[in-house]
Amino acid sequence: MSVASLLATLGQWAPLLVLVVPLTFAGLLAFPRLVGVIGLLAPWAVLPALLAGLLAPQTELLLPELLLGSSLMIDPIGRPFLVLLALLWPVAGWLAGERLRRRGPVLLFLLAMSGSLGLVVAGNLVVFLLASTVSGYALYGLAVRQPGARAFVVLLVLSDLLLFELLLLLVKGGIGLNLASAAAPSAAIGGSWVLLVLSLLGFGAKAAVFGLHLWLPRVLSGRAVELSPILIGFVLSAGLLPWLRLLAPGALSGDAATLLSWMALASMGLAVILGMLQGGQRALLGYAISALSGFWLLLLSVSGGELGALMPAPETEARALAMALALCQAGLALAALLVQGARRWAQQSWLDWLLNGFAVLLLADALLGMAGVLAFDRENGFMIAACGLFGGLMGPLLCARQRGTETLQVIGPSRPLSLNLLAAGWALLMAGGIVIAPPGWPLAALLSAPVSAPLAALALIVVAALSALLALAKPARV
Amino acid sequence: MMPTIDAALPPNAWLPLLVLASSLLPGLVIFFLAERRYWTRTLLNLAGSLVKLMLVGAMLWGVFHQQQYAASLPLLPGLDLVLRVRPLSLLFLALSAGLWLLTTLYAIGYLEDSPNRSRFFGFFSLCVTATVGVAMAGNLLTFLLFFELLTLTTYPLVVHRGTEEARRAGQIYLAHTVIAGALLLAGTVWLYTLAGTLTFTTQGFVADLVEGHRWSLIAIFVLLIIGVGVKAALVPLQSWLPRAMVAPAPVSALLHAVAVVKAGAFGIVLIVYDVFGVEVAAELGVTKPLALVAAFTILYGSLRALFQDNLKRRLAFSTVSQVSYIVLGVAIVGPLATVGGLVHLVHQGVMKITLFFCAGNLAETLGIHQVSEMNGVGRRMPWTMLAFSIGVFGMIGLPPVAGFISKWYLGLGALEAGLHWPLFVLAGSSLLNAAYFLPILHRAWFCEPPEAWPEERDFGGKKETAWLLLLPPLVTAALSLLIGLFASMPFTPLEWARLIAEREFYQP
Repeated sequence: MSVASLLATLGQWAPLLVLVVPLTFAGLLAFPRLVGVIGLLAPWAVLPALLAGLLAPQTELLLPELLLGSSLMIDPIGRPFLVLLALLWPVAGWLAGERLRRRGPVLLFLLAMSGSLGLVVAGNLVVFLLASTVSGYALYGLAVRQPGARAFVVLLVLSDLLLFELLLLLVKGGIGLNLASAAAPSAAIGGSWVLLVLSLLGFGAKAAVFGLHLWLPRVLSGRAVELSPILIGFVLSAGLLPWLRLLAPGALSGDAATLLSWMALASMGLAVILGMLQGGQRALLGYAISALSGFWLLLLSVSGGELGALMPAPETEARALAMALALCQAGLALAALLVQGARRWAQQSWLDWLLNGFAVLLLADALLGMAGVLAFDRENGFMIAACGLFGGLMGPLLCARQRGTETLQVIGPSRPLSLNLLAAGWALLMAGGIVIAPPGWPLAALLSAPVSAPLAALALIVVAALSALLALAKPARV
Repeated sequence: MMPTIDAALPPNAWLPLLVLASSLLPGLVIFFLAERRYWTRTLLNLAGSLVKLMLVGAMLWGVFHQQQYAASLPLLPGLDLVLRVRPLSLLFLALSAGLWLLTTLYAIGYLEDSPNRSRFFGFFSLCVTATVGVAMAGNLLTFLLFFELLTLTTYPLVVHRGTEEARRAGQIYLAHTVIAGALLLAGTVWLYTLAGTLTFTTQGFVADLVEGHRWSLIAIFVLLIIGVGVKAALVPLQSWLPRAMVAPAPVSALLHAVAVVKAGAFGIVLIVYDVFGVEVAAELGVTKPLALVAAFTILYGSLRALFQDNLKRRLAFSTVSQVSYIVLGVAIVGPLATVGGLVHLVHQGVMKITLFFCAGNLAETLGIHQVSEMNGVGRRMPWTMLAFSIGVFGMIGLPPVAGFISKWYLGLGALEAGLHWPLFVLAGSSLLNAAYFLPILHRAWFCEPPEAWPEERDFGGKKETAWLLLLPPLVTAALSLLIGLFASMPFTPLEWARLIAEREFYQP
């Protein structure tokens, strides 16, 4: 067998290999003597995902005998998520340190990892539901001692039930569950209130969208810092990625799109307001993630409409890809902020301030990147308002400080620094991609946003400055 | 009396009789064995169950390739004792033969050093004989005979411990099942006087009577369903089942997953499909009330389970709920719902037996009987609790465990039939399942264990428990996972249920 054919075969099986490695590690835990070694290797079980995200060809692997007929895939939208997860999981393992030397935690860690990778490579919605179950319950096991774990598992059960009903209705409607060509499910969801509500609530619980967000700020406020990157990966891949696949730009139109836009803006606004009232930085970040979910929903709902529906498919796909790339940058920036593990005001060094500020800047850049994908005048008002609202969170994030005397796990600057650098590198690659992209290359879509981006940036900067001043003026709670 | 075998049939028509004999003969011999003949008894038990499994495997292959297996013994003028193996029979037969082997292994480990083992294993084998007789029954009379034999052979198992509580539970069990048996007999006789035959037929044998005897048929349907509904634990006929939990764990496993409850559910399937025919039953208007009873039972069982601290009682109420999924699937009327109901016959059996094996392990190894005593037990008995967890996830209906496949087809079948309310029932039941099962897992895996367990037994060294107790739940847990994960492969319960539904609904 030549090297080329071996690579081709590997590429074809890549979506399965991504899952097999962590699952094999999990299986090897049956042998007690291997627990220590597996604990050391566990964070690196995600490496095939990195390789697949960067190098594997676009592929769909059909597994008709699995479950009710399954498929796995690597597609352009999934790639950035695979790379993001491949960056976040080793960081989580790095933070967990010695805690991954025991069989229970490392088993849950590996199951949660394989589940979250499965969410990205799922080729149909049944596999997605399976991956969601595996990652969700394993994550509950990891977070069980955190506040908010009970709310998380309750929402998980409810969310899976709603998704189960959604899947049944899609199959009953003859629409199918394929995600590789999700045009049919998208059109069906866009055209049915019941399906739309089920998908909003089902995925919304995992995306921690406002109203279904209660678990996230509380879990993040717990002592297990290693959960932060894992939770961000979960929110993005279990909540926001399926929305992108199913409510892709162009799927929603008319009343549904308008109503959803207003609802998303309202939920985002509420998340921002409640976030600004938080005393602890990690709870604030929980609300920031909830606001990001609202922002994402808004983005999807306003990017459709009549013009969106008329948009050629390649351009729609390009928009979706550009949005995915920017979302993953936001995920990295938020992970950097969370991993920093805010210390009390007096303990913060200039390096802490610098890292914190840089991560906030990268988050803002990612938001503007997402907003920049939009090209139509009718979208501007919503997006400018959304960016302005998000600015309200930027100030408190810039002036991060920890409430009370509780000391969280002390983390050196290397972890947040590395995540910051990764996010910065991501942003540079995106910017470079836009500048040098030939016409027709997906990232070139970002160039088609002449109006909204500068205004949105202005709104974000002004509100962020005001909220920073407000945060600085507010006396620190002790 | 020699069995008469149709000359047109191949010689392997003896197979149904051999299947019966493979548990009947060892059972009869075991009765007369002295208590100390441990190895002889074990050998007979295992040889019988292995032979049965192989015979069932051979028939599975044959039926898939359109072979027929039937034998008949003259019993009454015009009425034979007929054993006939069809795809539907094989679904139940394979379940009972497979799980009998595992339950036998488990019972050997469980009853080590306990008294009256020959009596126990004798009735145990007779019970399985009755169960496979029910599965292979070719007419309603044969079904009735084996169904009642099942009552008589399980009663001694329920009262095996000989305590006052066990005797009381046995009396209640007997009272329920004997009255139900009388109703079943009355319905059978009435039906025979009307139809002149009792032979099970695909799409039923009463279609010609609908016009002239509509109300009689409805009354017969009610009598027959009550007759089998007691064993299927349909509300309000379920009260014997939680009380019967006083029996040893292998008996509980047998009652819930292999024999009694399953025979009741299987009886409902036969009455709807092979006596009345599903379309005739729908035309008579009896399937809708049956579906409502099933729905109520599903929710009632789950609600009652929520408030039980005794682990086996919680599992018993869970059975009340889960077995009615089979009835619901049948009563919804449609190919997909049929697939869901039939496949749950197997799936529920495999998952529930896992849970009962685990409950038995906890009781035997650590003396744990209550949910409130299970704190941290996952650290002490990780493999048992891993098997238990897989069973629990299946019961809730989470992928990839087998329960997900059942619920998927039931939900889809309801939509296919134009009904939305079963979706709410399924959703409500799943929520309740999660509410009464997940806290057990939380306790077992994430709470701190006590300083001492209620009654800990030492199995030597660092062993979790005896391997004969550990192996069966691990095998059934793995099965629950595999038949869900690879549901669409040939010869899986799902594919077999599809084959049955196809013949029931699409073949003339």
